[in-house]
Amino acid sequence: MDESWRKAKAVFAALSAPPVIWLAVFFLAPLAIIWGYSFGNNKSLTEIAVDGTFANYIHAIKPLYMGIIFKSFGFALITTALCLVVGFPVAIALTFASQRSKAWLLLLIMLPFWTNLLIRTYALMAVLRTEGYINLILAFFYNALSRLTALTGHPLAAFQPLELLHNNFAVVFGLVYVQLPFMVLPLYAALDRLDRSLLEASLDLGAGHLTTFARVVIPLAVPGIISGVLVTLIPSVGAYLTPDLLGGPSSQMIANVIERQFKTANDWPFGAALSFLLMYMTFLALAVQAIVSRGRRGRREA
Amino acid sequence: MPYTWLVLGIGYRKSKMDGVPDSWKWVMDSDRYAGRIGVFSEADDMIELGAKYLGHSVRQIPPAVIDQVADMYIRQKPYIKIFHHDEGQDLLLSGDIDIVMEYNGDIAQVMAEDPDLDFVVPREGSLLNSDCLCIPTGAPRPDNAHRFINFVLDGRNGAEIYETIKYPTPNAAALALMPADYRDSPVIFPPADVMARCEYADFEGLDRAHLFDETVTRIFAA
Repeated sequence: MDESWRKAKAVFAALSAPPVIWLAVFFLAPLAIIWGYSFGNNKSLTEIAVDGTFANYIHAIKPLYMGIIFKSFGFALITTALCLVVGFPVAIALTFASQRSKAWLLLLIMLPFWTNLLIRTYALMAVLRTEGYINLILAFFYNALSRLTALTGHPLAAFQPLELLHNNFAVVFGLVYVQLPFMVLPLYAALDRLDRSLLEASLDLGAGHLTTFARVVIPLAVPGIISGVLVTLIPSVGAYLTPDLLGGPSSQMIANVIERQFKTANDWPFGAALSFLLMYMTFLALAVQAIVSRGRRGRREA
Repeated sequence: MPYTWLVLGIGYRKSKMDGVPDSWKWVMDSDRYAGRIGVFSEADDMIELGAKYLGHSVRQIPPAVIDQVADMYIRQKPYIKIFHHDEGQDLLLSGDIDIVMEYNGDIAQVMAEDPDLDFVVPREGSLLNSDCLCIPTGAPRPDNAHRFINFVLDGRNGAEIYETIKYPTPNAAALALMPADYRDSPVIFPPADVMARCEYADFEGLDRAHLFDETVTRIFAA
């Protein structure tokens, strides 16, 4: 017995070593370095002295930066809410699809991951811009209509393209587009496990479809909703590419400020402090979620 | 080794302008082209050119003038379509904006594709920059670097490079091989009286860089 356990332990160690080393060297170590920088100050253009100062954090909690963090959370919350509203019906459709079409539908949801985010964002720009595909299609129909009304002697005014790109709408649109699969997949995982007999029981006992949805489906899907919300919300708060490429003059999010600290402003300690401030907030959110879900489990067991 | 030099100015779509927009006013301090304006998002360029428009040098800008520049951009924000990251020429070409703060060479590139585009260095003057090739001390293979620099300095190779990038060449051998439309272009080589009103900026220390960055963060957040 002892022998086989020890053997299994060796196998376990051998299997887990590569990911553990990978994680330590390429994730934890760089993170630790940045964490160290957040307590440092600039000695010269290329040197940072880590001397345990809290000055960067004190600077980071200035109203200017806290306001930008709150605005980023605002963008992320709107994105998450829209993803939930759009993603829930998609997840339900997936759950009730036949086995054959389910595989195809899941593939369709994964499909965007095969193209790099940057390329997809540029594609969105081509769709949304002033002379983009949406405006070209609208202009085509509008001009056709205008030619028709011209026959009656009342041509329409010239087509005014919609301002779809370089504003906050474009940022939220882009974020929803990018994050939607991350919402749909955990929702689908939760709904797929749902016991169908509970739905039949609810409908049998006189509840309508809406009541069944609100009082049976949604409560049972709560774990999926929570994980979907978290994996959508957290990356959205730190979104960098989307506001940078799709945003307008007032679309600055906190990641854009952090990026400038590491590039043009050349203030790595301050950029590190801003990054970690965001990370502490994320950890806090995760801790609250853990406590809430433990409380829920406790109540259920009681 | 100087590779090219560049001057910031205003790129614009001729058919959408009322005359030549030869003042920074049209991008920084006016609603005439509301919703069609692009401003360079680089902190130094934004603030230094703002100071230049207000009649100050691009060097040693006093804090009061920096605040004045910030207030001006914040007032101007509703009319600005985008703070771009040096892709102003593409935005101009695609019709997303009609007037933009950009570098001479970048606009010269898109002017070759669209004759309705032009470039002007505003009468208040502007900011000059030079791009250089440098070999860091302690570089492991300086001989290779020298070979590359020699290659770039070769007249024929240089002519190919400047024909593509459409920035001014400091290389007389390359210039001699360039066509007249390059050598006589007032976009690539702005007239001497315009150049006389332009200045180089200095690097005025890290604190200065941080102040400039915080100022643009404030402008973008407003």
